[in-house]
Amino acid sequence: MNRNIYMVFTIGLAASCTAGKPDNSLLERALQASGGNRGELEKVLEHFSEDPADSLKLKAARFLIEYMPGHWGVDSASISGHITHVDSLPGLPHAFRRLLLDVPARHPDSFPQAKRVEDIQIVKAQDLIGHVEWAFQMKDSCPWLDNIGFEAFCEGILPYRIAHEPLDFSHGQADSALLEAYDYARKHYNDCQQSAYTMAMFIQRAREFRNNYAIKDKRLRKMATISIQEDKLSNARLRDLGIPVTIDYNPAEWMPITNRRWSTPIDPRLFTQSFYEITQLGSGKFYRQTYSYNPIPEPKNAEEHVPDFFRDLFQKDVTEMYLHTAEVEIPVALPEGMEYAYLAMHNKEEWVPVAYSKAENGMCHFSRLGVDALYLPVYYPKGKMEALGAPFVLYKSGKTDKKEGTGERKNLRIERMEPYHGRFEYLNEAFPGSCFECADNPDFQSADTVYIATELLNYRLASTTLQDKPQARYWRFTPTTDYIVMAELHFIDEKGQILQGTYFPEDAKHDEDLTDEDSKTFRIIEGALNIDFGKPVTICRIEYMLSAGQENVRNGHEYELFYCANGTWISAGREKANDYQVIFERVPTDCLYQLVDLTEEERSNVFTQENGRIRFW
Amino acid sequence: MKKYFIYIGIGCFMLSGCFQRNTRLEAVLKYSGDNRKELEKVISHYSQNPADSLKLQAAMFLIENMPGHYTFTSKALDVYYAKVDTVSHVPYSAKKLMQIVPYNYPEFRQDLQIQEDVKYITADFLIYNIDIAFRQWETLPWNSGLDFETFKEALLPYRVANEPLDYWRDSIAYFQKKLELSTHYYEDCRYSAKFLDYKFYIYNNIGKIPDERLHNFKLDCIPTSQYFLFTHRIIGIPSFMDFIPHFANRNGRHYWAAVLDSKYKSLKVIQADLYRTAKIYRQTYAHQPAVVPGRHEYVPTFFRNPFYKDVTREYLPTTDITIRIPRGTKVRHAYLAVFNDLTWKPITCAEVSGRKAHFPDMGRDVAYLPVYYNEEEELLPLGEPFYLANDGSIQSLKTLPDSTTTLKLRRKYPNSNTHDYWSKSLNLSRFETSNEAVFNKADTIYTIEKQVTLSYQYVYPDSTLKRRYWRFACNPRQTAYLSQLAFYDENGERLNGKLIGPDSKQGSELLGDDPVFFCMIKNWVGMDFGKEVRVSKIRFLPRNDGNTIFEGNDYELFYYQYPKGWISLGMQTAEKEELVYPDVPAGGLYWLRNLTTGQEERIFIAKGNKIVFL
Repeated sequence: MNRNIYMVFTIGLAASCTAGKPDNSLLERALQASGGNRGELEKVLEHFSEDPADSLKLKAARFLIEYMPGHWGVDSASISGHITHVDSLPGLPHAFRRLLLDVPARHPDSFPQAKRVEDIQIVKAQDLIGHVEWAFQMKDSCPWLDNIGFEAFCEGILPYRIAHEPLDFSHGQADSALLEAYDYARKHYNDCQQSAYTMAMFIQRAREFRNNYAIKDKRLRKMATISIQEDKLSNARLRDLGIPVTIDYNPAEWMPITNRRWSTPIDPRLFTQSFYEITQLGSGKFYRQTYSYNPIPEPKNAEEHVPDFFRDLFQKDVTEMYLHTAEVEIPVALPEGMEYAYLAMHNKEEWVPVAYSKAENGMCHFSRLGVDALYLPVYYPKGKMEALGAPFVLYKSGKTDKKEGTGERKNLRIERMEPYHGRFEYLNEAFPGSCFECADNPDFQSADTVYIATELLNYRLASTTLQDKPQARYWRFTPTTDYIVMAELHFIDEKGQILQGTYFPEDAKHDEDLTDEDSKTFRIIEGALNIDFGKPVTICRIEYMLSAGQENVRNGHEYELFYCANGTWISAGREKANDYQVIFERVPTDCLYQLVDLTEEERSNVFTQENGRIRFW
Repeated sequence: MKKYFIYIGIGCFMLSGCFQRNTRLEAVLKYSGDNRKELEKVISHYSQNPADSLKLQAAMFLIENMPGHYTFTSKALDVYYAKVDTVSHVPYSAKKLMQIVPYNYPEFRQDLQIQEDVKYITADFLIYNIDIAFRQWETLPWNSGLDFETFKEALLPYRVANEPLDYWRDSIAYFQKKLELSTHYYEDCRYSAKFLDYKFYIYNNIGKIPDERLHNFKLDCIPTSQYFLFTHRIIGIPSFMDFIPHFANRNGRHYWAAVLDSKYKSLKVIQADLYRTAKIYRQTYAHQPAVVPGRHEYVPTFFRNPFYKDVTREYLPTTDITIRIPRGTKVRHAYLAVFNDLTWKPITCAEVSGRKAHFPDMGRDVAYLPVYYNEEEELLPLGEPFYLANDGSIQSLKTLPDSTTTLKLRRKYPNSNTHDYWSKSLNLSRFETSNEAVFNKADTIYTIEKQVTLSYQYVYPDSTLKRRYWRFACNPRQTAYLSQLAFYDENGERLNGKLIGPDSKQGSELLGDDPVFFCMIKNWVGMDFGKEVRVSKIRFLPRNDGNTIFEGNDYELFYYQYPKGWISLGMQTAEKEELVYPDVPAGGLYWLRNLTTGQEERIFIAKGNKIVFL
């Protein structure tokens, strides 16, 4: 089962989702959807209707029931073997268990017997009542929940599943070390007591919060992909501690296999977005996982294809919390009977739909679009994505710039597969002051200093000419810091050759990394790097490149450049890279491009040209 | 004070019906007196070419809002400014900050004069500034999304405070290399003002101030922000000076240079998230609606400053509050106050209309007191204090009638998780005793296995143990923070000895009684009692904030009752680490004062047996 496939509801059900407003029709539809399980749900409602003091619990129970259709898990009977295997893992923390039980839903091919079952059709009154009671016990005992507001409580504490694991209302106990830190904060830290955000930050920073359970089973470990499920683990653990959280994400995340989503505390006192989570330049839309329903496309014609992402009722557009936004109106020519158009963003592998709009009078109006972002208008005739026009960049003023070429052709020189970012770059700050010396003895006694670096480096190969052409057998590079990572370090003789020497103390494994003219390979230099050339050599030039050149175009690799025309990718030819760049001749200008490293089978970020420079999106 | 008259002048401009641009402009030109020709030169300069229409609008914006902007000058300041001119090898933004430094020093304020910009500014300077600002706006890639209205406040202004006007704006040489590298190679810096700004944080080098009288100058958030603002304007990064005038749940205030990013919603300041904030303001160039006092009405200077704009909702979710004015109280303006620095401080002002005052955009999780000023300039309450909760609900902090409670108090100020490492640093530290000064053979008395609280801790050794040397040894993997250490004999009397150990030098005051002293123990510190002794009790105090209850200190508890204000519930001299106040009116707002020492005190409420500081 694809985790993105959700049950599509009737038009009436989806149409009635008005931002969390209690609605008897919503309740009635949920009870109808429960089929033979209706009695269990009615028992829950009756239970909380008996005592007027339970009115808020009744409201909470209604919230869970009204929005339960669409939430599903794997039927535990259909994966009993998997459950037994997971439960045999020693000392498995509760949150991990939940995550491992979600594996069949994420890998349906490996679990063909796994059956999907709707929560509303199997939930038991006793379990739902117990869960609501637990949530209110947390509300009564956790001071940061005192004035959190009902909506935040419902979305942050009440949700009972983290993914599509078998229905389970149990709550895990934090391990003792984390529980100790948590209890201490609850008892003593006034700032944590009064703020869900502060409490969440404190717990997440605690060393004991870091997940360190080692799954020995290789196959299970590979399928579990714990490293990219951190958000779900975090949610499960924080909710079990009564800390309201949800998950935010960028649907067009680069490198979709990492699927980075982040756990977000819900605190009505603050705008709890994290600036540091959205550091990609390619972001344009952000969504938040919700328990309740959100509007989705509702084509009158049931045959009209709606992409999986927009069949998910449980995600709310929260772009405006993170980005400045603008609106665009785009003319669309949809086939008769089709109502919806979409905007897609590129995630290095493919176009991903991120926004939708219903066409009216041949126009689609898209609102709340992140600015300084690149979009492609698309639609889905015959169930497959096709472009509706040229990709365009949206600027803060609302101005759009279509990338459909100018008709001209020019040479295009490319150095990088990805943008080079300064905010993570600190090694270049360490380079000035680095020292090059030479000596006639391996102890570098009476060594001559031939050059002290002054420049800040970046991803490019830099060089310095040694006017005096010093001659010596032993050479040494000493960076200013104890630790620097270099991709290339060349000592070049009078003939322009990169000399090969022996590093000492010896490190055969990385012997060639600094001279292979491959920006991807690198060597960590701690303290100093000593080289013995075997005999005195005359060095005329020194070249160096930081490991920041990791995503440079690689010498000797074959590349193919594509440009986007009428929504399709067209090849602009193949070229081999040398001198840390690849040049394509007579390429259509002002288009959207993507470079493919055919040797490594890797793709670049898509890019355009602005004022003669490449700009990545 | 001249500042006062300027505000009056500005008020006149604003109230005199000068809302049509050319009328307002004319009023400013008239006010400028002999300098009118300079201002008209600027307008004429940008009126010649239709392509300059936006620059003309910018020039008029600067001129129309110029009244109220001025340079401080005095004999002492003029001599000092000349000295600053000679400083070299620092960024020009540092020199601009140096110019501002002496403004709060009395010796530089003798015969203080102001030079109003509108009467002294030259056309040449204004044109220079406008042209540079436009060049930055139009050419720098990270400014491509900046709209004109924001540009006028975030990039265009030619001054930051009351510094002398000079041609500082193009002094980019100091930053040039870093800027070129950053914008040429770093794609994030090229297109994002926020990320570019990170690259210049390290350039916080003000250099040596060229006047000995100013060498005790502290670089706190205000001068730091001013420095950043100058740096931003030189580089072309749009930014404002935003500030929290008074925190709502602690003492102090905070200023920062807020960078505007065209893509990311970058207005986030950690202090607004970690601490409670009632209001955030922005220093603007343009005049903002300011409070105009009625006849004989006192309005604090802060609210008559026309250069402050409320920007709370750009940072935080907010709630609007409306209060009723009690019958018989004749007030033109009402305020909401927060408790800060041991007093109620008005944080926002509203005009009263129909016995109501409406306060929009108030920060949440804050206790407020509605107040007003009488003609004698006394701050008086307008009603009971109340609490604006996280969900926007308002809870009364009025004491319950005919209801009392017992308060057990162990602190006078909230405890914060930012101090967590103080108590955690002691985990697995241990107390040992030996008859050898090097502790080769030692008995472990006690190991700290659980995180302690930031208050006195007691260890009770085996009283049969008689040794000469006793020590505190920290966990070898970390450094322990310790404030006090004391050993007591079998009669409970303090044992005197010599402090020993590799950490004894930094621990010199460990044996004293200052609770806010602390030292870092990386190895061990101990006592040589000169002979074998029995120790019945060891008392130690982790590094702490000095806000628990200390034996021997005098305390007084108050509760708030409108209209009287704070009413004393009596003084107590603490005999242990807890104060008990029985028969306290329940449900109200309280304040525990330490009359002996300290300055951190917070108001609090009681929820059941829990104390909640607000």
